Amino acid sequence: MNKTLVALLAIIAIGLISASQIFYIVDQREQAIVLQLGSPVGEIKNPGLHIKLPIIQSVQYFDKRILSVDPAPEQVVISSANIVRSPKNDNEEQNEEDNSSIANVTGEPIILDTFARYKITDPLQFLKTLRTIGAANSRIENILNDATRAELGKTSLQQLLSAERGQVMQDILTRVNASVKKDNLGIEIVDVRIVRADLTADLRTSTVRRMISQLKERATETRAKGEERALEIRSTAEKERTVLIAEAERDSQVLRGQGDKESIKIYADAFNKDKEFYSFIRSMEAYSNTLADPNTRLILSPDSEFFKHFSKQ
Amino acid sequence: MSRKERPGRDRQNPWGNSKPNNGGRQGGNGGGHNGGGEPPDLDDVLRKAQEGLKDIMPGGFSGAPLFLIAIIGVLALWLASGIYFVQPGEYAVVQKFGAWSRTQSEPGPGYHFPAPIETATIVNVEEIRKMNIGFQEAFSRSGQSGRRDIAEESLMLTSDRNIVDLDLVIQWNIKSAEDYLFEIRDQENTIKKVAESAIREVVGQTDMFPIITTARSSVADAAKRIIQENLDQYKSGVNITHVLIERAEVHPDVQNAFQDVQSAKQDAEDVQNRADAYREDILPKARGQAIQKLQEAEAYKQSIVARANGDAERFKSVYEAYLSGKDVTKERIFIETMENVLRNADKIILDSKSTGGAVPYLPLEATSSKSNKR
Repeated sequence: MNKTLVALLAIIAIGLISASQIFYIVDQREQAIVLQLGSPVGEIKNPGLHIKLPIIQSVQYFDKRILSVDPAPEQVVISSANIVRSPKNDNEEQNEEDNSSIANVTGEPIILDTFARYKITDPLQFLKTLRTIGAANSRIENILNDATRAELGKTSLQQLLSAERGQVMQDILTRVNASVKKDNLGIEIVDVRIVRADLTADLRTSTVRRMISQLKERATETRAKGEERALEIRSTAEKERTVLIAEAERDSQVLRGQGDKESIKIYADAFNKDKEFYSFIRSMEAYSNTLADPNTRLILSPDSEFFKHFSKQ
Repeated sequence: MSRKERPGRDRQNPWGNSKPNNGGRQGGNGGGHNGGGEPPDLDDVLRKAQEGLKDIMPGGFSGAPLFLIAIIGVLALWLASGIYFVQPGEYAVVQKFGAWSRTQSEPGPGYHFPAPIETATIVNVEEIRKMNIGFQEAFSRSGQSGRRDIAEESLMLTSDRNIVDLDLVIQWNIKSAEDYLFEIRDQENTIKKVAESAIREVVGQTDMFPIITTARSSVADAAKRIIQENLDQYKSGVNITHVLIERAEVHPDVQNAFQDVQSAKQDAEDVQNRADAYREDILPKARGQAIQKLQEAEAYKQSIVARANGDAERFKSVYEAYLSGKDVTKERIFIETMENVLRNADKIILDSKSTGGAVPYLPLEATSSKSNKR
């Protein structure tokens, strides 16, 4: 029994090994090329089960999906002929030099983060030029970097912060695809996009300062405008009050005048009947009103009208 | 169970169309490999194996069933590994020898030929997945969920060159399981990068104040449109269900100044309100005063006219009475007035005739003392 079992297992093992040498499976996500002693033979293989010659033929698989290139963010100077790319591991002196050169050019340094998505369209060519995804990624990173710097050299931040951003990304894509095609890398760049186009730390601080001062200005302006409006409301109200009262005074003076006029007329009408009597009776009234007071000292002559009977006696 | 199912599969005979492959495989494997689970062959092989065993070990029948049971058990397990279950909302994508073969969208059990012939990937297409941009959800020890800001993701430049701080939540599901699995490699990373790129593109074209106040949802909508367009372009099979701006603020360092602008608006409104209140206070009072003045004038007018009328009437009456005996009345009034006057007044009577030319002496002290007393 043991012998049979061993024989059976040996047959199974040999079978499996030879099957693995003859059959190969290409996944839906992949495409494959058969290499005969290192050189490609036959068509590009689609997903499914395929047969090859054992031992002398090997299979090279390539991803068929959209692949990613996500380079690290880098500093570029925007809108200037002079592109400064500051290496990350620079010492202080060089950084200072960078800063001064940045100050000299008209552009601004920004932190740019881009990504590209690509596909292996020609595995044969890919195998000849790049071989691995890793090599492809670093090659595309370089191409992307060049294209981005070239494109942004003639773009201002103002343009990047506008509807033109889409056009800029499109231009970078065109440029990248052109150089990929020129180098015949067997890949196609599906898309290039700018993830971030941000200010550098220095510029960010100054922007924050400017924002603060702008906002302060805005706050002050808002408050001042409020005061302005309030003063307008108050002064208008006060004007209205003054006018109202003045008008009321005018009207009341008119009324008083009318009253005076009427009363004068009434008096005149009445007293004109006998001026002399009015004078007499009004005088009498006035005497008793003014002189009939213990403090009044009168020095009288007995010759007066009042004493005419007094002296006769 | 697998034994029960076998006849059913026999009738289907799914190997019919791939006979050459099977044949080749069997040729290579010999009888030992059981022909990739082809049941008729299996019986054949078992029978042969049994016969072989009998040949080799006559009378050693006791080992054969054990061997058989082992082989059948392994086979059964292998075949059973093709059973899968699809939950509601899930799709099963089946690949035959790597190539896409079919997608099962109905929930329930399904069967694929065991590996390496067929494989199944279960994809949940209805589940809404969430992705945060600008912050990370962090869970503190007390179990409360908090968030940790990621500055490089959340700070963005606006078109007026200000910096806003946005937190975004992207919700998405899979609209095409095949595309999601086969057309793109870095699915989640791609969604995230595209989303970041899109929101920055939109924010970069919008001014700061709208973003943090009124235009939040329109910014999110525009970003959603761009994200979806890009992901469709990549044939990613991803459907963006929602783009939500959870937090939209100015740069943290600017927060105080921004708050001050908001409170300045309140202050301005407050000052105006107080001015309005002042206006509402003084104007009615002024109107009241005006009315008062007019009424006073009216009162003066009416009273002075009334007094004049009264005086006139009185004079008329007195005059009429006077007419009936002019001299007498005049005399009487004169005397009565004098009486009234002289009764109260301090009087000195000097007879100019009796004193002759002498200057009358007036006691000025008395006069002054009198006036002092007053």
